[in-house]
Amino acid sequence: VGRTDAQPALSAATFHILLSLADGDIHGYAIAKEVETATEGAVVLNPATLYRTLRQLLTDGWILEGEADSEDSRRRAYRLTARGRRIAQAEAQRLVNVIRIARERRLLPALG
Amino acid sequence: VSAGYSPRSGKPDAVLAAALFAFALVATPREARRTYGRAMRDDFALHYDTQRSERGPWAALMFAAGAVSDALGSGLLERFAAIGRNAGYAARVARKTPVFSALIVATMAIAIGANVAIDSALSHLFLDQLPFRDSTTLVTIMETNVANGISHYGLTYDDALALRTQSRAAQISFFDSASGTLRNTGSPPKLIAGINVSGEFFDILRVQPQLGRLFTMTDERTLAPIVVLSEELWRSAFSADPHIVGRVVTIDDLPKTIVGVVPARTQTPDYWHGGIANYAYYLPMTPVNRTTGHEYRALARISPANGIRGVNADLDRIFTERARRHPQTNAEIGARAHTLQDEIFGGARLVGSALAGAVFIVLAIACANVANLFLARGSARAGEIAIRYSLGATRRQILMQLFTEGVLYVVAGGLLGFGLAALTLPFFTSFIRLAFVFVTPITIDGRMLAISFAFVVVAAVVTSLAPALALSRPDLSLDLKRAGRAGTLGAGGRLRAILITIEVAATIAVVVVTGLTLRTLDAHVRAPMGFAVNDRYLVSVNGTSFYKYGGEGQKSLRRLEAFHRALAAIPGVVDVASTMAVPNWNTPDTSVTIAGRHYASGSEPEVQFSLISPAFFAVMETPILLGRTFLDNDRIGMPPVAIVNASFAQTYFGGSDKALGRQILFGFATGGQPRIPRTIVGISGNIRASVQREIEPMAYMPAYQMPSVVGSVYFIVHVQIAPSLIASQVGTAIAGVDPQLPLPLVRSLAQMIEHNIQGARIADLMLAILAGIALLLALGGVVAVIAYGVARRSHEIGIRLALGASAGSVIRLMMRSTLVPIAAGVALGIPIASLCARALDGVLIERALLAPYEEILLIVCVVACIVVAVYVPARRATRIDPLDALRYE
Repeated sequence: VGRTDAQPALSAATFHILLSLADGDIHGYAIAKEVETATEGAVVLNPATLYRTLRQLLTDGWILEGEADSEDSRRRAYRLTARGRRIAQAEAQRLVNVIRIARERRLLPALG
Repeated sequence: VSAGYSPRSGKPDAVLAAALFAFALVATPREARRTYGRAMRDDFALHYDTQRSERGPWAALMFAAGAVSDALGSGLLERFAAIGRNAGYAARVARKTPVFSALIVATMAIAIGANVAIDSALSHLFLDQLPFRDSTTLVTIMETNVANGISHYGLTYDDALALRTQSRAAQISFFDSASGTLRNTGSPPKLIAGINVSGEFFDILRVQPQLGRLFTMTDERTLAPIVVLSEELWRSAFSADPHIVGRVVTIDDLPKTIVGVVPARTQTPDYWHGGIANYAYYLPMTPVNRTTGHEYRALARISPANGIRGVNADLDRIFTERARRHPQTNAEIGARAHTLQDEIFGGARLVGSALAGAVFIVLAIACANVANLFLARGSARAGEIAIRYSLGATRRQILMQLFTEGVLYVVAGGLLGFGLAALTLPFFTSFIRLAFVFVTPITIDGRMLAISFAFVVVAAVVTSLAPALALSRPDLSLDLKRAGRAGTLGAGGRLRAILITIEVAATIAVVVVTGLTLRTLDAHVRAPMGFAVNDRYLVSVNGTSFYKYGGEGQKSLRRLEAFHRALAAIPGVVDVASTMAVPNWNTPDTSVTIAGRHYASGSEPEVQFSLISPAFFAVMETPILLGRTFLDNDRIGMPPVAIVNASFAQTYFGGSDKALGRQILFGFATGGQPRIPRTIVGISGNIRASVQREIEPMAYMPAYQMPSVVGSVYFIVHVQIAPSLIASQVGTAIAGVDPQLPLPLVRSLAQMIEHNIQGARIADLMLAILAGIALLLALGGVVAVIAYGVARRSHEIGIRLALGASAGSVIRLMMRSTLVPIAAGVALGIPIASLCARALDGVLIERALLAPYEEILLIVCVVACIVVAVYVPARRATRIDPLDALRYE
């Protein structure tokens, strides 16, 4: 039981987590920080939602969990799997398509 | 972010916020909390501190609130998702085993439906059906006489006054009967039923006037000559005159000014008149017409805080003090408050609790059954469970999944049961209305939903949790190597044995108690009433109560004789008698003393009594065992006489011959006059007061000798004409004597008995149906589970046969392992049944009839069925080729 690659839209939390891991491995709190910074505070990942989503992504095989940090036994780093990267790309592509449609319909200004 | 950052700033608000967040994490599933709990808490604390230092305390607070609610929401979301997954899985399992599923759902539906229907009906009946405002805080207070076991003695006027002034726990009012003849209404004089009420009466009853005003304490003090009318009297005697207030009427020759009218259907709780009485008028209580007798009834409003216990403690205090101060009159007198519920529904309550108990046992058996079936099937799934364990499932997950499966079945059964209960509501309504006509129809309401929900929760926990706990034990993972075939004992073997024991015990208890109740009720119904029933009709001329007929003795006697003559003149009427007591209708009590014996005041025995005309025993065909019946010249001025029944003679004199010629004094209707000794001139056969009552001591006085109290009597006519003609013939005869009288009520004594029996019969029928369901459920359940268990051991049987065991020894082995819990059930069930029987003895029924042979026969049948259920599959298993059984070894 789990999500399939054909999943249409990802939740904001899921997509932003995947995006934050695209650059390299980081741990939980850093993910929350990075999402907050990147969205200028529009998306706030509270701890419970963050870890629930991380567990779901682990179960579905979209990310991997690193060994516990030697310095701080509680902190574990997360890494995108190939599958997770593919899904994030598909989602980004989907959004690009959506934006293209929005521009055609003049909901957004055409690209200069 | 540095990994070495210490997240806790140690500020009190940060500590508090962290504690709140940690608490909210309880919503998160446990495994997640174990792995990520610290990370989440640390992240929270770190972020809180960051927010606080960078954006101030407000931002930190907002973050904390968001994070806490997120933790709660997120956790619940996950749990519901897990339940949804489990439920989906359970639904797939259920679809694969349709017969099993249908069996469980049907069992639960019947058991839950029966409970919901009966409990809704009972709570509907007992919670809100009384025709009084705020009836739960209204109580009646009656005196008791400990020495004599009298529980509903009237109060004396002095006791009532003391109660009113000294009570701290309740507001007290009191009243006594004040029936009289009403004149000056424009229509002919009429004897009607009224009461004298104390000043607080209407306040306590919470009645507002429809016209004019009601009484105050001042009216009681000033002896105001005023009257308040009932709406019904105002309508019938005064044509609902809107200007009635101020008009003067005469009641028993005394002028009274009408000051007000109470609303329609204003009722008075009056134990002495069937629990609820309708009075036509109300007079202010005055010390002038006080009597020394125990004739007053108290009605009190209690505060919910004190409750009935507080009132009773208060009564104990007041009456202990009175007993000390007035040892002559009050030595053995106490008082008790009674809720209206108890007063009015007393007997029905016991039948109700018996029914509720019976359906609850049915539910218990059904739960044991379903739990048993879960266990039996669970042992078949031991392999599946073991595989899941080996794949890393936690016990919690397995437990939750098994539990969810069980709950799903129970909820489905509960929904179906609710539907069944809703369908049977009209039946229950008509059943209750047989006894209590004022009851409104039972409808589906919030209370019924709540009852259903409660039963579903109880049933779900009972049926699903225990088997789930037993089946999810991780040590069963040993079964992995046997996955796909039966274990020798199966999971939860001991629990199953316990359940079988409980089921057998409960079945035996239900069978014995039901049999006992049915037989006892049936014996009561069949026992001779003591009089001839066929072709006897009750003619009730003037209401149903007995009223004083003050100061008009000779006149009322003449009228009584005129009625007798008129009724006797109807063609086809064989004989006519008048009586105050009518079996199955109304039998009054009086205190009585035996001349020459000493009684402390209030300790006189209470007996049933009646005023009768000479022909009474002849009409009723009740024998005179010794002495004579009343004669036409047992009248005013002749020596006072009495007749007692055989039970009276036996109880108070030790035999009929010893009673004849002795003198007794009646407490009834002395009106402050000295009591007259009456000589017992005859001993009659016993007449039972009603189908439900046993033979009790009863005394008779000649009606012609006490005309001052002959107000409204009943006539019994013995006829030989077609029943369809009787009512009209009697109506014509009565109108011939007094055309102003209302049409008399005519009922056949046989019909009255039938009506009296009907309520009991329906209760019997319901008990019998419930017992039948219980028996079938228990038997079916035990048989199915045992047969299933034996069949699943065919593998073990194969091994034993292959190792050289004989078929007989294998069958004996199978029998032994199941017979132990059955024997334990029988051993447990018999004492439980006899305990229940003893509890019922004298409560539900006056004397339980113990005749255990039928029950023993039933128990033997139950055990025999179970033995067959073990034997047949065991026998079949021994016929299997051992090679087949061992093929997969």
